[in-house]
Amino acid sequence: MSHVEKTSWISALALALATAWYVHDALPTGAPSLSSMVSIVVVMVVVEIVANIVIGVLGRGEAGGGLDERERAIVHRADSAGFYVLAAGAFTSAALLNLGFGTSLVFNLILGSLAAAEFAKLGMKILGLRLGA
Amino acid sequence: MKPCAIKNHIRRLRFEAGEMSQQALAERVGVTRQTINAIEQGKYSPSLEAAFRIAEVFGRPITEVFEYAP
Repeated sequence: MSHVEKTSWISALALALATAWYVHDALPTGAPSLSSMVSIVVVMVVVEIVANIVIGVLGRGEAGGGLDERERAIVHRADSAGFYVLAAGAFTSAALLNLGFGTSLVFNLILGSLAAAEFAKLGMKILGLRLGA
Repeated sequence: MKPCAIKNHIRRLRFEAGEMSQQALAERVGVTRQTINAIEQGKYSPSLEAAFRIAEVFGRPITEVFEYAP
């Protein structure tokens, strides 16, 4: 497994953890508290930093190599996929707001779009790297 | 995913070059081992520069390493 694939897996798992935590906190009231959101972000950042340090140390110098041409092409395609997901979410949120839907729903839809876009990007990256294309 | 129209003989040339590993070839070309593997399996077409570098490692003309087979 290449270094960029390992970091993608770490980001995907950290984001899944953060999303699950957010949904658990937001479900009863429609939106979590500010302190809860700060905690989610801090834990996610710490988990990613620690995990990346560990794979960097265990990776025997792979981490500093940068992306090669194939990896750059895969990342570029993944970024495009993520952009379209984010754009769809953003336009849907704007439409719902204009139709008079509640701000809590729109807020969660926007956050959900961000998370979905990131999942799409990471998923495309991992798939592209796994398939070799 | 449509197959690459460019075939290569990298695997055979690696073995002829003293059983060079994919990792060793990758380091000399400046790409990752996974990219060399993807090129050998026909899943990825390298850039022109990378193709010339691979040919240079084996000391062969590029047409002996890669062939266009649509």
